[in-house]
Amino acid sequence: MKKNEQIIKPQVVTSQYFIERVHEFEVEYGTNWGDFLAQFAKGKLPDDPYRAADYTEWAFLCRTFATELIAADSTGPPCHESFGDYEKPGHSPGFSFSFSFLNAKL
Amino acid sequence: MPSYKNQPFDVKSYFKTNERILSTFTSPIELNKLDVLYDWLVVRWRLNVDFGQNKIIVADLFRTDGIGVQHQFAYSYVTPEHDCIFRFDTHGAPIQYGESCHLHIGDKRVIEDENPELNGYSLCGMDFPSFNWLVHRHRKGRTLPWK
Repeated sequence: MKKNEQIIKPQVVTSQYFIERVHEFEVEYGTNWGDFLAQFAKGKLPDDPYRAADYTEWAFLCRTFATELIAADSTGPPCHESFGDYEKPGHSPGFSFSFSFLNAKL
Repeated sequence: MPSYKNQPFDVKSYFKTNERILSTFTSPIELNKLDVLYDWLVVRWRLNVDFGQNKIIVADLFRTDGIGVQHQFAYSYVTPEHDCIFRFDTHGAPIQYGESCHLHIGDKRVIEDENPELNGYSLCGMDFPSFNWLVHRHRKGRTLPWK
């Protein structure tokens, strides 16, 4: 690591990025997000720490972007949580907060 | 103790603190990825660090509705064989930032907040700096709050 090099490099993304991340987990673990969430809700985090981290993220993204996922897949399960409203017109996906603080010398 | 525990969540301060912590690491960082939706409506941070003998594996997720902040995480500290030394998590569901999480010790024990075994250590407001502080103590051979 070079001196003064930024270690945490934030990437500003759209919701589509997270939805694609959900689909990456579907491929990696061989199940669709709805089945995963249904099974996951009944069980517990796996002992394997990498899988536990993945499942934590996957479940979070499923719940957070449920509206978008259901819209893309009409067979998905109902969910009470969504952040889809933030994509309504007028909420521009800009860089109003660019995390530039991380570029500042600490 | 980490200064951010039990403080209102401030995303700037949080990642500035985490940046400072990571700058002290000499061990290889295997994964370090921070994705932010818009003006931090959703934040996803994944971090894996290999200390040689043990590893930390972090999934740290936040979302806000502009009023409250929800936090979901799994902070694992494991052996090279991936056996759990300890792990803090929210059991796979988001909690309001500052609420209590669960502590897993080894693969069998799960401890809830206010358990006498914690010797007064609170599981509320757990975050990466707090987790790192405990990992650091363990790596230095110092006692942990729990038995």
